[in-house]
Amino acid sequence: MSIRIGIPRALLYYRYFSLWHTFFRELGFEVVVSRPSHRSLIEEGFKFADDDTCLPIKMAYSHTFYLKDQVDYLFIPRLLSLEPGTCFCPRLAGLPEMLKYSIPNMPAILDPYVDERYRDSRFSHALSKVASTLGKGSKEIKQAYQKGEVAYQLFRERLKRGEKIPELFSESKRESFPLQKDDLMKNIAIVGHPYCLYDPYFNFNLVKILENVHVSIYIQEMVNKEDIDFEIQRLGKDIYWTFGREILGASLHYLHSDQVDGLIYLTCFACGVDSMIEPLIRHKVKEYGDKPYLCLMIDEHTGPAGVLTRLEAFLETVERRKVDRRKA
Amino acid sequence: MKLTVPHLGHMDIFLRAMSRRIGPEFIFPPKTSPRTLLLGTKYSPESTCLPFKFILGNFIEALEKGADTIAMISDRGPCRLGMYDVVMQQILKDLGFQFDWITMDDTRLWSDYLIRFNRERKKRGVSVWDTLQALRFSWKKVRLCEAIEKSVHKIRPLEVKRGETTRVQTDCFKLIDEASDFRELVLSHQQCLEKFNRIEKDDSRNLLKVLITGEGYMVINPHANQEIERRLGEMGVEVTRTMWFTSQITYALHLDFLNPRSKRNAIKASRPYLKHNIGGECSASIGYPILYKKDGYEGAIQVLPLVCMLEAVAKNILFRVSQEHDIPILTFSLNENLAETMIATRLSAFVDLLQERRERKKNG
Amino acid sequence: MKGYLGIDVGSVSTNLAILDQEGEVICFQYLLTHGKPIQAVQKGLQEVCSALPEGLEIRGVGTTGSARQLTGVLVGADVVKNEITAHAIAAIHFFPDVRTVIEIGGQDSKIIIIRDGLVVDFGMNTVCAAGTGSFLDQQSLRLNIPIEKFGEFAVRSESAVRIAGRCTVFAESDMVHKQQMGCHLDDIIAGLCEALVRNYLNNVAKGKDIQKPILFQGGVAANLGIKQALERELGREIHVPKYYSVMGAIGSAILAREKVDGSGPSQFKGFGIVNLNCRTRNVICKDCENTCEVVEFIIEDNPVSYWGDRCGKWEAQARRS
Repeated sequence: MSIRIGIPRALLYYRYFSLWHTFFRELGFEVVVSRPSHRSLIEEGFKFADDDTCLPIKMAYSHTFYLKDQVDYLFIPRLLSLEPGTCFCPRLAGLPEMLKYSIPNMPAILDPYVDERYRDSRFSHALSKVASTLGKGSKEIKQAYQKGEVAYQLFRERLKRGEKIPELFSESKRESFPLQKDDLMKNIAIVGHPYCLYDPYFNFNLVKILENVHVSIYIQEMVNKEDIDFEIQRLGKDIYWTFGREILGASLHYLHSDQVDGLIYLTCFACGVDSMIEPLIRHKVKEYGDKPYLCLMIDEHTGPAGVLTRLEAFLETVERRKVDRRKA
Repeated sequence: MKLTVPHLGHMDIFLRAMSRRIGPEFIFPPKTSPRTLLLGTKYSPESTCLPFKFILGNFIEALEKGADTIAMISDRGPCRLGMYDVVMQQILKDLGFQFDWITMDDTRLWSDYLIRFNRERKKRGVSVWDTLQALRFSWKKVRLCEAIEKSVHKIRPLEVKRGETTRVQTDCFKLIDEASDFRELVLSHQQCLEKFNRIEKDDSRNLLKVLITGEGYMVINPHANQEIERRLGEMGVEVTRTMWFTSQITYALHLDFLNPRSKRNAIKASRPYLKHNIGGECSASIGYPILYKKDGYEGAIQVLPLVCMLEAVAKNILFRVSQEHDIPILTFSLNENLAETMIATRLSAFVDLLQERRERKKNG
Repeated sequence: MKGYLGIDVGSVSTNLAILDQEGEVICFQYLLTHGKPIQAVQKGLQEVCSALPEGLEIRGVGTTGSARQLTGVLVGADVVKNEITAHAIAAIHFFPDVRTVIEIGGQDSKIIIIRDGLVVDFGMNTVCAAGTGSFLDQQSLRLNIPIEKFGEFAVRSESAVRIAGRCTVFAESDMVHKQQMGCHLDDIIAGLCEALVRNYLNNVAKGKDIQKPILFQGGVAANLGIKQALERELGREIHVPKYYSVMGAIGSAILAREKVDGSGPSQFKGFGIVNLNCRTRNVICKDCENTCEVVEFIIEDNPVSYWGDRCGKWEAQARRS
């Protein structure tokens, strides 16, 4: 019977899942991921979550609670930084303790600590340490990590190519093809934390809704690192948050380019990173004056009606702008 | 150049002393008041933390008073502090203010600052000796102010006439601030001691001891924490706090190894509960109650801004610390909306709870 | 005969209770504050005075509630204590083994954790009024069903409707939506009760170790629908004490008795105060940048007391005069 390692479908899962999946599977572990978010799963876990925190973290509590009795170990990495020079929201690094002390009867937690702002702390090393405590040899660990890296790169490629996002997170190996672009399509850039963008329960299936109304979606992962760096440098402030930097750099890039007709920033209430990044984007939007912009702020009391109404109004504006432009 | 900085503990006394001796000219913001918070809240983006709102309010009021250069500390995360400069500059420019901004960033080497400082010094014709003397003078003033606060913590709960100790404290800060040289400072010190001796005290009271810990700005600024030290003192509780201007400096310079209750030791004590310090005061806030329990502190209060990225982690973990070390811990997550009665009621109930515990322990 | 008076003046309701030497309740009063605490207290005292047995002498007075300080000055209180302590004391008095006190009031709610007769933890509603009685009051008005009848409707329900949202505004729009969909009123009201309980548990009671015996007190405790929803949600039996609506006042009376016994005469000004013209005046002190709002308390045109100042000099002024 192979050891079951549980990965809650929350937070950094939405960026790194292919690396983690592949790594543990290659080593012969059984990887169990919590089911996609749905109402009862999410609400069951709310009672354990701290009230003053953002919805994605509350959802992490819910997914952990759902998963804890089904696995031998929970994989909740303590990730402060995975890229030199930038870091994630610090709450992610405190998550294992926060969960451990709030949810009863937790299984053992695998919580490798990684702070890649410092050269001697690498994710690969941390993961290796974890795997060796579970009895795996260094050669197979190395191979598994390499395969994981490949899977991760492939995932990033697919995102960049514009493959349909909901499919990318499904367990199936089905290839999904990017939408065929045409002149009548609205090209909308959506930015935000991956765990806001890619969890359909969080954002009321926003991505699918947009795709259904003939919108071609541009995401921050489609922007080259060089372009993001360029925009950040032009701004004159070195943004130290990994996602904040991505979101800001991509937004500025899209605001400058003719590629997109409008920008949506998907954020959540009480997010520290977004609270400082959004005003900067909003300011630039006003400065450039020509691209419609929508900031959607979601928390656990937001209802689908509110989001859809605002989305519709926004798309109207984009449509009208596009038509006007064509006439001119 | 008319320089301004936000209000932070006794920093203005320190800088005023430096300024009077070797410059530059400072225009400090008016004392933080309800108007400060109102202004700050009005122009702050949503979901920013309380310190941001206070500091923005300080800057607006200072610019109104005629300051033209803002100096503000910064860092590289992980919390919002490192972004204050770019967001605040944007807001202030939109409000029509014209100013220069100096960011004091801890990523630049100390040597960078020393070089810059030296250049300024030479430009003004200030000698190295004068500079060192000025530093010594200003540091002494701040240490005196902190010594006064520590006395107030011990004496206020014993006072017979409510408010007397606080009044004496305000007078003493003023005396120290106004002293223009070492001789005057010694005299002021003397006067302060006399004032303290004159406070009518009831030494028979058996005081509860409570620790105040949490996010740095909130702990060190009474205007931010709803004057929690004064309230507790007036309820007959001896308090101490974990954040001092001088302790932050000694920690940064690694000079605090002799202090058993240092931040370094607090971080060490927190390890079983949080394996790695994620930044700010987080680990320290977790460890301090454990340390201070050994000194007979019977309870702790954690103050933090409502949406604080770092301290909220400490908040969650302190539940467990409270249980395992048998020390009641009350958390105040503050934003600009908190009603007066809430604070008063909860503090009062907490003090009662501690009192009852003590009685219970005494009776066996 | 010695009696001890307790007065709990909250934002929604004012309650009074008189206990005898043994801690038995002699009489009590529950009335609405209606935004006028002084008048409410005077009215309450009048009612209680007329119900007093012959020969009863008030030997101690305690006040609690958000207007405890004002009331304390008005009546001459021996003890002024916060509502959490007062409620806990009353609960322990009747049920020495109690371990959890759930109190849902008109505008604020509390949870008090007690172990071995000692308060060890407590919580109050923080950011908003979700999980308090005002949630129900609004709906009662809108549906034109008196609050007291809510219980009947809820009990009849076979499957409560799920009402979303923490905010009363969101909850109301959800309720209206369900009504328009044709859901039965019984089920809607039951859903309302469940929503309140959910809000209470997720907000006020978050993270607290709820153990039985559990007491449920406060104005809302009369509502059977809420009691049932609580029991269902917690999976445990809940007791509603006999004097559920005046526990704050009872607690204050007990505290007064403890304070006064053996320490001398009470500061009680007597029932005569019901006839005195008492009012307050707001003064904004401009002596420093704190601009405190000082309250001046005036009895028959004589300023008697001040409070609300941070530095204490207004308070001291009253002491001198």
